[in-house]
Amino acid sequence: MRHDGAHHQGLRPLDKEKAAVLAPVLSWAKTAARYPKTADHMEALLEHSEPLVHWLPQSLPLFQDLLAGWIEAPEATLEAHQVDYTRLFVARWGGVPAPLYASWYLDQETFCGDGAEASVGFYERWGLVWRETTLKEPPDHLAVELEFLEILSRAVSEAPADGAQERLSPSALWLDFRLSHFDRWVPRCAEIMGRHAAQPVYKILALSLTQLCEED
Amino acid sequence: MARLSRREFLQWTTGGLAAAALSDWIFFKKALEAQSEEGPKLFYHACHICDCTCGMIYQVKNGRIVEMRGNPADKLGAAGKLCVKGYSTPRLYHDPCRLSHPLRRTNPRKGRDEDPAWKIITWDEAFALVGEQFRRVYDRHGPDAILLFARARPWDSHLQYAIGTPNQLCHVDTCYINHEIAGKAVSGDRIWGWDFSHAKYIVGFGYDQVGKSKNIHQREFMEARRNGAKIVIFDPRLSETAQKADLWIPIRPGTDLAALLAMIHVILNEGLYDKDFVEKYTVGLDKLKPHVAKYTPQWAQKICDVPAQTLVQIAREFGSTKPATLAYHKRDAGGPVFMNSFQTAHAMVILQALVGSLDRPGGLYFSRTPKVPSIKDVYKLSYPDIEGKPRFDDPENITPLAFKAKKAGFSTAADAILNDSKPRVALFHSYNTTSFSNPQRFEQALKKLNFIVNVDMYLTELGMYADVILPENLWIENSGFTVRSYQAERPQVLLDEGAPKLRDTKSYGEIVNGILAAMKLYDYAVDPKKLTGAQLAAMGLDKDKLRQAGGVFDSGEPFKPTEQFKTPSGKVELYSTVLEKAGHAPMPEWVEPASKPTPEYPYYIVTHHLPWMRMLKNANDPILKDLQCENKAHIHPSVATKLGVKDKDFVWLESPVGRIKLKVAVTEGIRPDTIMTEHGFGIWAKGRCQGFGWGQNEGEILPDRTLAEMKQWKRHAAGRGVGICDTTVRITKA
Repeated sequence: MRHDGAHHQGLRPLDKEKAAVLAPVLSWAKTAARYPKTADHMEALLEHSEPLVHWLPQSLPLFQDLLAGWIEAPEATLEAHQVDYTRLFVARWGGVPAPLYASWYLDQETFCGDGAEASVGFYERWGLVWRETTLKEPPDHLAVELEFLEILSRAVSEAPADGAQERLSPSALWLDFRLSHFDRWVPRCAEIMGRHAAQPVYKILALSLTQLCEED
Repeated sequence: MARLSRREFLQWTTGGLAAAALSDWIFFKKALEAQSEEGPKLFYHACHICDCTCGMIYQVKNGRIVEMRGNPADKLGAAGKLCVKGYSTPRLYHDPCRLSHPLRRTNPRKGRDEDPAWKIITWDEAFALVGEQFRRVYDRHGPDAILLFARARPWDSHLQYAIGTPNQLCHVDTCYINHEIAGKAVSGDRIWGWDFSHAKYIVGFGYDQVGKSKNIHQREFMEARRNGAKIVIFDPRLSETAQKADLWIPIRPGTDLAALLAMIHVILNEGLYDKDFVEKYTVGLDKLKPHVAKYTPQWAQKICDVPAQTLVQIAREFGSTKPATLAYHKRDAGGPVFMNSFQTAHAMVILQALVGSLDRPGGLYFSRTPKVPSIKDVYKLSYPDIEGKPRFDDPENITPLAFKAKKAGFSTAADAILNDSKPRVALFHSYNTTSFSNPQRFEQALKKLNFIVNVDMYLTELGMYADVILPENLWIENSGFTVRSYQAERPQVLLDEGAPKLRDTKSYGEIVNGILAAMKLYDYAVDPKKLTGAQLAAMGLDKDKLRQAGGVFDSGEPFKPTEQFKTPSGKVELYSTVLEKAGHAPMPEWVEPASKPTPEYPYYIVTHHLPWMRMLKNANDPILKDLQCENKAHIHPSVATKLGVKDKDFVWLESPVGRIKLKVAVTEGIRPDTIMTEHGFGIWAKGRCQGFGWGQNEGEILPDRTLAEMKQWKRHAAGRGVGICDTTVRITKA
């Protein structure tokens, strides 16, 4: 299903200014949506938090909690986030509340279903070949889709003002991807994530996803 | 913890941390390359949802299975069609609840109400953890301190022999072990083929493979029906198979043995046995004949509640119609359903031989399989000798044949662990607590084990007690080949072409060798990828040849009936020297089942496996679940009247083991003294999102056995069968 950008329901096209703001936010969210394997991963989330705090001021107290925990007991904080990530998204006694795949929400709780195929179709439209590397997850995983949005936002923000027109407008593709796909599942995922998250990173991720989908 | 001010926070995050970068593009190639549309690819595989191993053909497009069908080249198995379970494979493949990463437990407390608090670990971390725990126990307490709950499949056995533990525990003593032990003892081989389509007379005792949707059985049975064979089914309930029979005989549960002995009595007494076959291919008739003299139809009538005249008539027809065959397989009256079931299975092989249809057209037959070099041969390994090492659950060697067959252990597992003094660790390969009768007791035993590894595709009830979970590929993600063993009237090999792997899972061969390397058993940690090519080459095959042949190598060899049986005498032993030597009854003899109705527990209980369920593998399939989402207590109208209940009312079923609450289904198709319920429900682990919360696990009212009980049953329970329905229950309105 594709939407004509002219008939979108309130979603604004991506302009340079907005794209410049969102690119680092999306980069942060993409990292947060991956399993926190190492201390470096946690430190990267802290170190690159500033653009997100500016964009989403209500995330500050959560970042403050995260940093305080990190200073006090980094290993325990890392393991708490690993356990929280696993129980929220991967495997949990009581059922996983918020799987991070589009297909779960769009295709009656399947894995690698039509949602994944739709994602790959969008990536191909921008000439991108999805590659499976370290994540070992499908193409409709939240982290992958956030990276795709990050790529589009950087394409918009870094485009020369008077340069030649791209064959396909990244702003139009952003709009289509958001309306046809991303915004159809991410708000629900974020809402459930926000309700069940115990650790700051996933509370922040839920807040930022909600903000991303609601600010338009 | 103290919260930092905004200023302090920003100071820290912009300068206080070591420079840590957010990831660059992770998931996409930077080059803006157009990717051409990936067309569908066609693959061959054998279905491994059950042991029928039906050949299948499937298509993959952009990493998704888009079509699946039965392989017509697999003439002995699928013959172009799959069962409902086989067709569910794409849904299993794409199931979001399948395990995706190795997991480690962070909460050491174990129990149904304890959240294990899993965290993802890498495969390297997982192997290191398992290797360290297993090696420590191996060094301090010996290899036998490691328990392996697994089948005797090649990589399972490699793990067992490499470690050198005798303690491999298999589920088949809750399934079909008696048929295997009786078949091997009496006729020298496992009876694993069913030529119903050429039979003229078929008799089954609790046989309901048609109702279980076993593809091969269903096809053969319906062919027999179309060909006009007369079919008689003894069963306390009107099963799906019985509904398609000419005659349904609602026999009293646990007494099939008496009916079989009476049939043998009539056939011998009236000289209806196949004299040519018996004289040429059997020994022991002189001992059998006087032995069964006392088992008259009149005697049997009182025990099994079937008129003597009916038994006489069926025996006469069975003995005088050619070819006539028994229908038996898993979980029928000869399976370990009652404690006298081994005698029942034994009587079945005898009767089959008496009518001359053992390994003959129109009867039951042995598998014809090609010789495949073992893992030991391919990798030139020398394993530690474990022959004769005492088992922790059978120190007195009560049931040597059952353990030699590597098919037993579940019936007494809980008792053995709970009464054990040695610290032990365990690995479970694709087994769940729901595979055990009396799982409540088994869960207590699990808490006693020092460390548990669970290899599975799902987060199961057993996983809730595990310390490490290792996610295994779904079978369709594995590559290799499958040797047909079911219905192998001639050698056949099926190509297995793995679908693209969707998760961070591994094949069991990779898992086993990862564990062995981590245990520093380097001599046995081999490269599993070399096995397939070497084995195929030894058979004169390779993957290309199999592919060119439509995914199946079919030898086309004509069926040659066995002339020399693999018994000590070379003949079918109506008086079994193998059983006698092992301390078991050499001829089938009547023995009462362990339980009889009492005033406190006045009803028999029997169970049924639904056609879309295979050991809970499909429990998470939303479409199959919708076919029947919960199990029920099937009761006779007279029982419903007595209780004052109607369809869909709730009742409690209680046995000495436990109690479950079920909805009622009232039916004329069951004896008034018997209650039936279905297996495959009662999921509580919630790792499987679809199956959770539906119905009840009937295992919770079924018994397991103690080591002392097994000792008492030594003469009659050579298969160590659990006697899964050998209990009685009471029913009350809930």
